[in-house]
Amino acid sequence: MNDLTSIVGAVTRISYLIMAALFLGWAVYPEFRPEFAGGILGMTAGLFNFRFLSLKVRQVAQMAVDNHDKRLSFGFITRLCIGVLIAAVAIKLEQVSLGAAVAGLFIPQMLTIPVSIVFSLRNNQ
Amino acid sequence: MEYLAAAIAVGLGALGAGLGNGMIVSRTVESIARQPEARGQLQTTMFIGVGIVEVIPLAATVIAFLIMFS
Repeated sequence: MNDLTSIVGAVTRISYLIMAALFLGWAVYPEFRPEFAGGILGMTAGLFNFRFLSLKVRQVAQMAVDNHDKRLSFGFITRLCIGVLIAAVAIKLEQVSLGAAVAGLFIPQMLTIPVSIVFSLRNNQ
Repeated sequence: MEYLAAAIAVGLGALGAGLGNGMIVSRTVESIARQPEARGQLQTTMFIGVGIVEVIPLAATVIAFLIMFS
């Protein structure tokens, strides 16, 4: 298992844990349901974006190794459209908080930084 | 005026991200082509770099979207 697979797996697990906590909060605190629903929605899209980016990075690395000269993008427009779609859903639905949805969208990518630091420290030991 | 502000935010965000991503990917692909055995470490570094760089234009786009519709 290489580092990228480990980092993606670890971030996915942590994201699932956070989403489980958000579901629990949604069930326990009815007055904050829009915030929890926004967080869940945003994190779902953020996790999809994160895994899609890892797939694209693998493809680019494979292309560099194989010396293929075909065109390959990072799928930025796809991920951008998912972000805008989530923002549009959050604006449209009163049951979903927009701020929480936008924050949730970036959590998996932000989790990459501490997770990769932990992995590099572990590898150095 | 809101539309102009939104367009400037998206455009500048996309420009910065495009430049940053281009630099990261070109250097990494060049390094992988030189040293294919270091592919694992290089693709991990590329992934972290691209992920962090792309958060900013995504945020810019969503904020621009909010400016337009608020």
